[in-house]
Amino acid sequence: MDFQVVVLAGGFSKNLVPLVSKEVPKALLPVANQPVILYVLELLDQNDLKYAIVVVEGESAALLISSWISINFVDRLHVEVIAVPEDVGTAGALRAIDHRLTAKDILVMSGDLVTEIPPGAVAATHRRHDAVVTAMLCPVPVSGLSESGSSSGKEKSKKTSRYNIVSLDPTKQFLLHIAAGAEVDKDVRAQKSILRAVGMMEIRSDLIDTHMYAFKRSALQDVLNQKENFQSLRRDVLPYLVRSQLRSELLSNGVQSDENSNGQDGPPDSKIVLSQLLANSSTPNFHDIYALGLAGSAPMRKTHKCCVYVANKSNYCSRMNTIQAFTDINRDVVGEASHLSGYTFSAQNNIIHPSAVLGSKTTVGPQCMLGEGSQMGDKSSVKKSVIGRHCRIGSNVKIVNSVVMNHVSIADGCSIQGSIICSNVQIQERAVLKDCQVGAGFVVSAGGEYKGEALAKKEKF
Amino acid sequence: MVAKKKSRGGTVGEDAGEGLSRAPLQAILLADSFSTLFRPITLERPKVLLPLVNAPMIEYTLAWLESAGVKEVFVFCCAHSKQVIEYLENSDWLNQPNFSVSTIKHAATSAGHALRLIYDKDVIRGDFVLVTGNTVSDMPLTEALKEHKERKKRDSNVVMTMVIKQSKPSPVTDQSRLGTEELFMAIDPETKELLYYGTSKADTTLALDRTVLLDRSSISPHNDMQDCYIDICSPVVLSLFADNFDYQHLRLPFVQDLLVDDLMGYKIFTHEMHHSSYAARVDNYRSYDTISKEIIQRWTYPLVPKLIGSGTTIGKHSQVSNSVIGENCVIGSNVSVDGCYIWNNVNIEDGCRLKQAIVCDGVTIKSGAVLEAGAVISFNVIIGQNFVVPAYSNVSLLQQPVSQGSYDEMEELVSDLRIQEAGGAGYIWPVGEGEWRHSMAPISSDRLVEIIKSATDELDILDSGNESDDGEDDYAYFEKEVEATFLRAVHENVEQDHIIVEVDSLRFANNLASTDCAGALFYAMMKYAVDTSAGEALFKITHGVIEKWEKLFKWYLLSLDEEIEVILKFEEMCLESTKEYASLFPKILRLLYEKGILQEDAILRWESEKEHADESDKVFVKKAEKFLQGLEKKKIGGR
Repeated sequence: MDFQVVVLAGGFSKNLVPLVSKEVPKALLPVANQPVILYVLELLDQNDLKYAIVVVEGESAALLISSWISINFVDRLHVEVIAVPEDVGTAGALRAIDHRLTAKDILVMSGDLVTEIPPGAVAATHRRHDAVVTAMLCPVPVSGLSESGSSSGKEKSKKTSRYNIVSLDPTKQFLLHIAAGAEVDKDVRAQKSILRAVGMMEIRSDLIDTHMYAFKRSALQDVLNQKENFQSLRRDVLPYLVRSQLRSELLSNGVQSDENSNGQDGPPDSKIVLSQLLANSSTPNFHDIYALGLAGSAPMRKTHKCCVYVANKSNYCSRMNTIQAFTDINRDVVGEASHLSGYTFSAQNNIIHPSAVLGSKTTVGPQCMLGEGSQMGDKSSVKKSVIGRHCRIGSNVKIVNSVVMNHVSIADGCSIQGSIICSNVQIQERAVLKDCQVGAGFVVSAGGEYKGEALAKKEKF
Repeated sequence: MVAKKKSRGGTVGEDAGEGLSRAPLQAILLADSFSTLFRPITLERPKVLLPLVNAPMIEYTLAWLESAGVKEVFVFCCAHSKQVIEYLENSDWLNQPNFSVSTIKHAATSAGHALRLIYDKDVIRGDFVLVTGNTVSDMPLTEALKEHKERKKRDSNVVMTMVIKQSKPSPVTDQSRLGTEELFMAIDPETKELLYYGTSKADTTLALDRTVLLDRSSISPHNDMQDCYIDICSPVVLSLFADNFDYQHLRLPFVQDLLVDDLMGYKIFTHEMHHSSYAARVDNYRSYDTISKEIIQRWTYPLVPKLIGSGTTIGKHSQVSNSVIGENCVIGSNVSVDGCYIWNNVNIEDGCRLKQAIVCDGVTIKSGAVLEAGAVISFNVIIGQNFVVPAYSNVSLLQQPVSQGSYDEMEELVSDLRIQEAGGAGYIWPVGEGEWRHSMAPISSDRLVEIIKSATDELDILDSGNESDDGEDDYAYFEKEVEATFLRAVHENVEQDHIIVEVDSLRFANNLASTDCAGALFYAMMKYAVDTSAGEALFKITHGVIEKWEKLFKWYLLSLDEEIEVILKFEEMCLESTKEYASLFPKILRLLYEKGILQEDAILRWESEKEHADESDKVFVKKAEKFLQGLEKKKIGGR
């Protein structure tokens, strides 16, 4: 097996309170009425990657996810769910399953990724360059993130911290710099030694790190073992690898030595490179200069390559790691990225389950979804929203730009806008919710009016 | 002389004139580079008149300006101004029909000073081209001018368009092919706005304010660009120089200041020259060599000069390769000349061997003598029979000038070596440490190996420090650099002005305040005093050091803040690094006061700042109690 796939599914993500609950870890939060992890697993299936390790934080979450996967993907994928302690971080999770990593390269994906970009493209780039790490980057969608409904002024000041700041070489193949954890909000600092080697770089703030990485296993394990304080792949491991690419501290096993079969015929002849240096011409690859040994001596310095795969702008790619993202992705998957949902849309550009019941003069607009066994009373309307299974919705109810999960009851005369209603919530008559999140099982009393609030039962995680 | 293809020059000029603006295009040509890299030659002749492939450098610059459509040139003459003016008067340049050349003569001390003087003359009426008289180019200016004008129309804050050219420095020596330091720039790839400009090696990273990424999605840092020192300037550039007396050079700190200061919002843009054009500046011997070779290879067509001047004779069995020889030279037999520039009226006797050398007018090299690679033989020197001039040597009839005031007993001054044996005449100047960097001789492969090795080590040290990268580190690094700069000043007779420029560029590179400069310089001085005193008579030596560097030090004491910083620094030193001073604290404090370095207000404010501090923090206030009381009394008495 060449590539081993590891899906990091997280646990009960704090960012997503009150959407997550004891029964619903992050990986099982619905996107168009299907758990978000389904999208990653489907992607693997479609790309003929039949084996995967799903790493979950916490035993109870692991049990929930494991049972869901075994029901839904039986006979399709060989998935092994492994529980790791909570809050170990992405690097900690990989460290915990270290003994399970055996393939030459490891493809790490975030379990909250909703995309159509084939992982094979990342793997191919990784292999072609014999890289230590290859990250998949995706251009910021023109609409998507920016028109997410929140105030635009705030958006602008936050812009640079929300997107990643990365530097690429002019050919857009190599990753030269990525802001590490603490640096994200500071000045942008480009390493001169790397700039010297490559001559020119491009600092970009319009690319999103999709958290899909291909790692050379031996290198990944070296870093995880040597740097015990590294917690996060994105904030610690990746910046470290990028920073040290011209003076690699990785152990030599596997990094340079093994398998030179795929086009790379050994280290470049040092004399040739030296003559190129003296001729002041550029070398075929900037890493070679530093890996140069003089007059047949051992190489001065080891180098390793950090690559990127920049996805095409037309591809959909988003991660469900915030409440805003949850709303956005649900909207997109029944809207502009509807091909990802796997559903067939009606002529009205929506999906109403055959078992759903609509009262008279009730309308369900385009880019909406109404799940199995849900019922709606008279004169209600649903616009740009997703409604789950077995919900009971009364008359004269308005639901706009919202996500309603399963078994929710909404009484007559309610108005719900820009909100997320979790499973088993009861909303009594004439309640008005705007930009709210209502946690599972909560009861919104009659006539209540809420704006921009998170409503949840007191539940300790 | 330089042969030109007139037709081409003419058409370019008309285009530029008609399409862009009615006012005739003006240019400022600085006929002095305000550097000493061409010494000893420039002690006797200005750089712009030195022959470059048998034509004075200024010829290339003027010919190019004329062909590029410039109508009026102001030649600013400074060093050896008489020679420059005389040369121009004897040339055709002063009476061309559509190209007016006039001279401005003044003993300016820096390029900044020169621009201030030109500003006062009030002769510049619109956008102008700013170049130095050692520029060789065939680049048409039309496009760069057009871009500049269009940008200016949209944004009145556009002050300058800087011409750059792609050229990657050697990855080993970090030097360009012209022997200049590597340059780091950051450019907006879309608008071509310049966002960062720096040559400093001080920092391992190139820091860009994160706000620059707010309204653009990408920025391109470059290490593969060469500054051509051809600028298209708005008139406001002159007034900026006029307003800021600390702008001495055309680049630093001027450019950095403009880029950092968002108060005025001035912007600088870059124009990347088309690769088919040529532009380079003769800054040092290496670029002299590089550019000469490129002229010979006709990169600069239509500028095509002669390789061997008229009246020159070469004897039997002599070999001349890769060289340029001027007029009326006599070269004997069995002579080998390789990669050399031999100017006019040079006499080389039989059997001499010359390699990668510059030989100025009137030199005589007696039989059997050898010039090793990188030698520079200035005017009228005589090299004796069978004498071997060592590599990188500068030989002149004049002694190396000792800059006034910097003579110091403690330092070992390497003196010039007089060569008289075997009929020679001249002095061999001591070889400077970095001479190989910009010498004519190529860098030896031993040296390259050494550099690669040390670069590897350096990288390791720097990067490990980088992990805990924060303000403290920046300052610690800065302090070390200032100390090194100061020590160089002490040991190598560097002029105070140069120290100021160096310290300033360090300061900008590290983004520190002027108070930090004062503190760091003070630290450097005091540390130097301790290190040289060897425990004895510390006060006396400190007194001497302070006295000697008083002027330099005062330069950085702009206000009370800097003075207080100095006292605080002193206190810190007494406590930590140099406890030797602890007992002398009040005495030296009094000394600084008496010298007028610290004002009483600063000292008293320091005292009052300490009033509520911990007891342990007041040790030195107590020590100086008597002196402080005296000051206070005086202050009250004075009122």
